[in-house]
Amino acid sequence: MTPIFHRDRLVGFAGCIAHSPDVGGALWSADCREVFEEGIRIPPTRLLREGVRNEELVELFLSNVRVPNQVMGDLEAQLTSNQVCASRVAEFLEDAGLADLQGLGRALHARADRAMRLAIGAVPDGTYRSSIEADGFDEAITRIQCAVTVSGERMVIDFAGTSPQIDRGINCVLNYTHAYSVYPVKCALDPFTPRNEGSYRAIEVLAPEGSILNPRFPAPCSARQLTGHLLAGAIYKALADVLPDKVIAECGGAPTMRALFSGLDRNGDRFSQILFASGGMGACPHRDGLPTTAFPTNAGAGSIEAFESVAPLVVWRKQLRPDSGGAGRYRGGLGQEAVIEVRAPEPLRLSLLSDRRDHPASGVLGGASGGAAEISMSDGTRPHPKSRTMIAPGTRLVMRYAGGGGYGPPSQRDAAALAADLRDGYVTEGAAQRHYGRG
Amino acid sequence: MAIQKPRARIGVDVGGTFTDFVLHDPARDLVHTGKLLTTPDDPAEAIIEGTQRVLREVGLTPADLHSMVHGTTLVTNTVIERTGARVGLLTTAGFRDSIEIGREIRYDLYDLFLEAPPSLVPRHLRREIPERLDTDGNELLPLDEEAVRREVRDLVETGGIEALAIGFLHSYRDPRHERRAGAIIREIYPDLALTLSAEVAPEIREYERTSTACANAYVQPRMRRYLDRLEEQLTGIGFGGRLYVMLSGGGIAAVREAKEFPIRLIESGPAAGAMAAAFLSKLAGLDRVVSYDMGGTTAKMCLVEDGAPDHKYDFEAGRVRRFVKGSGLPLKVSVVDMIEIGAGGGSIARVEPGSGLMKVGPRSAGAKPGPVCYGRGGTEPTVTDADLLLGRLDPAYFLGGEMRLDPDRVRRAFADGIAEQLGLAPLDAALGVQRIVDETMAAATRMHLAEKGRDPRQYALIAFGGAGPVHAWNLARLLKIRRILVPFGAGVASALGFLVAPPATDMVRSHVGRLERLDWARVNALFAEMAAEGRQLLEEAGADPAEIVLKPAADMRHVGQGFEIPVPLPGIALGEADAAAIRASFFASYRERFGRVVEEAPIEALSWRLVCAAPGQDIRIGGAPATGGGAPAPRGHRSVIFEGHGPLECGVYDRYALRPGMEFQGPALVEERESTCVIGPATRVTVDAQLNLVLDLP
Repeated sequence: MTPIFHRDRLVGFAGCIAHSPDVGGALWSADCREVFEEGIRIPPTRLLREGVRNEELVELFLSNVRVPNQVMGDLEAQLTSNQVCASRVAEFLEDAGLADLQGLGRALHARADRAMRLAIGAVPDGTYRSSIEADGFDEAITRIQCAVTVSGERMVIDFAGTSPQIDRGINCVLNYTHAYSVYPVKCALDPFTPRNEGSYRAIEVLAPEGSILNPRFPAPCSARQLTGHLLAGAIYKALADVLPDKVIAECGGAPTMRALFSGLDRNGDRFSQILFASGGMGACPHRDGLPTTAFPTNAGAGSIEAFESVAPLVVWRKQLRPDSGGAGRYRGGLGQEAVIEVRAPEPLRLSLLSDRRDHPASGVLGGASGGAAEISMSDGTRPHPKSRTMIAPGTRLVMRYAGGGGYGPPSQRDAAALAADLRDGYVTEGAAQRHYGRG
Repeated sequence: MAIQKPRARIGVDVGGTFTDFVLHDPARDLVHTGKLLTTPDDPAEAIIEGTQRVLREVGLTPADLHSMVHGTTLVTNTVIERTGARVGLLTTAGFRDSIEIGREIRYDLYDLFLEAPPSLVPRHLRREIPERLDTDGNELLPLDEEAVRREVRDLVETGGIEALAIGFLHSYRDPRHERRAGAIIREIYPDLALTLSAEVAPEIREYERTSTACANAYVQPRMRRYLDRLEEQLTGIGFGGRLYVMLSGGGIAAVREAKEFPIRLIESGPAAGAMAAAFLSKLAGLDRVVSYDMGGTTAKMCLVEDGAPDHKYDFEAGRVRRFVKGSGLPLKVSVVDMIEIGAGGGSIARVEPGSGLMKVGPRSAGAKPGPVCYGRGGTEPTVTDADLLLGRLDPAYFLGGEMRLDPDRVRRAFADGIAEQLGLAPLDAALGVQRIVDETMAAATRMHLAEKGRDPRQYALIAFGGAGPVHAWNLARLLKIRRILVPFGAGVASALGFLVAPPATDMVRSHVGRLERLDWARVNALFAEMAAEGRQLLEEAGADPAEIVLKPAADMRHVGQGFEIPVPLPGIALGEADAAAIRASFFASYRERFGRVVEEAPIEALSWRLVCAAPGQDIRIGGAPATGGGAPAPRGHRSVIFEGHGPLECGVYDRYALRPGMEFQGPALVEERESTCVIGPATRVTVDAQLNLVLDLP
């Protein structure tokens, strides 16, 4: 955060967030027991005071991370972007002849608020409920209970009855719960109005204290996305009967499935690479779901050639998974399968963050579930889906990313669409018979 | 006027609606332009007819032509309209879905129902071949030649493909498997159009490279047929000169390159505008320029520094949403780096129901029905309609008086539409339209410059296109740009680009390595290969070998970063000893773009580039000698509403009566056939030797 001054007055703050290459603590995993293990905690503290860097803070911070140069480089990039933002805002105020942003902010918030209230007002009053489950951690399955109450132009999303917090890193703090609840509502009800704080004033998000969606300090939460990403599916499932044209089925890419490989490469240099890849999106009311596309997050993926150029790994396959799209009038988007061989001289560390092994993305309004996630090794073992494993040279890791859920009953699938799916191998003959009763 | 030595050059730009011609006869310092409706079924028809007509008008024949430079939207339209060939694709086993999986990113964060651009090759025509190289080019799995034969036979015999692309992993590093597969296929099907990814785009990143190969294959059969026919017909009318094509990067190339790599013509037309701006900036002695071309549907901005437009090496074609980045097919081709936004004279203004805010564009009324003022059935107010209400356009002198505009109809459209919805008077609503469209363009320009670490205040604006001169003054004011150049003939200025473009091409090879451990022998071998290939292409395009200039660069980044920046290199024969200079060059480029550097972090290079260019044609325009200045007499006066000033009485000047050296003050209007230059208060206007209007803002 950087203060913005205009005509010698504080008129606002510029802020940005970025993934730091490291924050100390245990490496990337969901298996920590307390937040203290997950990285260095820095309460709101001045990095610069009147432009002078707080060197003691910097030293303390950099002493606690594994790659201090990269961390500092990114932090400086963030500082620069804040400074550019601050000077552009001041220049804008000067050009516009405004003393500050208060009046403009109020006007924009009011318009966004109005647009969202109009959209909510069009939804019939009532309380709409859903319940979804996810793998959770070991025996502790995560259950999300969701009640969406619409009254007039207000909406309350209440997660009462949701699983209690857990002593593993998949707890989701309340501000994250809030963000991943209002975002899917915005996408479904009012996607194209410019958004700001005002867009979300009409929506209240409640989660009981001590639940996995509002844990008590010092609950660990570094893998909060494994829970937070599920909320969109729960909210859409609740609204599916009353807003069938506005929601999609559950997504295979929610939560994201990530594998991080780290160790030494052939030159003896330390490397650390994440394989970015996504499951399939849930089917839409009027169209099949997009293959290999994440929702509600939007992470993207890189090139395998680039991946192999910086890591001692060979990817033998990265391909769509036939039959992984949930059957339905509209089919869920396909997930994918990646096969990765370790070609490092020494064993590598594999950190996995995943879910949907036992709980595939469900369909809506009669649509079937997508294919479940699966992670296995060529020696027949299955690594822990939310923890760290050593993986020996020559081993091949098979990662199957989940498909999206289907929309509407499979019996209503258009014959030509099914024929095209068969021709292109998105659906196999056997699955066509099993799910669609033809083929 | 048949003469011994053919000397004249003609540029031909086949656009969606019009085919534009520009002819230059150096013996007479003559530049002559013409326009004909495009003949979409056979574009060669309009080219032949228009060429003959333009030549006739200046007393020349096809035999007097030294060369023709051709730009076409055929390639881009083929991709947009999906009218290309049925293409098959061979990939490494395990990777046939790369082109469908893509970058796995949603280009719109809030649209749940967004569409992905459909692949150019459907899945059943994508076949996998067992073979594999690793990142260093070592063979992990030999090429299964029998599988190549089997799959291609099936693709041709039962799949009915007309063209084939091959995209194997790591072929940018070592193309031997792709080449061997290609040779096998040519033995069986010598006439099948074939594109190797390692030849069309030898760059790391399989999705982008394979996508480029597929797109090339997709447009190749059609472009070959078209260029063959054009050559034949030109010969038929007695043309004995050379036929060149305009590449997306602003260079011209021989027809052979266009037939082999037609995808390099994807931005052929827009490149010409940038080349024209670059040429004009050189003549005017401006080394930092924003080129600004605003037409009926879009505005295009491009940075021009030291007389050359900025380049980039990727492009997106066939977007699902025209102005949304990420919604199209990525292509690794060299293009002039310009932004295109949905702001043109025909952009429609409307009030958004949710927010109650006014939006302008990107929807455009186009040429049909056109703005309300055309009286051709348009009912929604556009930017041109707002310009008319504000007094910027003369209803009686649009297109030189060929078209009468109807201000009453416009006033009613505003009054019954957006003005009523906003609770404003029609004039205030019109001013709002102008503010929004100008601010949209300014914001996009600021962002484009900011991404390159540039500050618009240090740049001049060159404005052309039908709507460019109308909006340039206000745009410059918003960007705090102090000087504007408005070329003579703003509506056809971009065609000049065809005449001045140099023979130029650029080459790329990928070879990844940390700076301190690079295999310089390999880098030098790649540069030698690129230089030989580039020289050959340029000589085919008519360049004098002695004049060819080579500019080497590398795409570099810090180890661990996901994106590279272009870094100029000291030469094409490099070694250990150059590492320090290259490091310094990287930091200089990095600082310029991002404002600060982190010296300790290691650096790596991914791709190596070589720009090969020869000097372009120099042509003289304008010509009339300076008259010693003085103020011209306005032919009338009109009241124009300027933001923050209210109505101001403006002198109206006839562009064709202005002579070099003349000076006057804004507020003023300068009218020419295709456009009107709007000049705000406290601005000095001078006419330079090329008949450009030079506006100096306070």
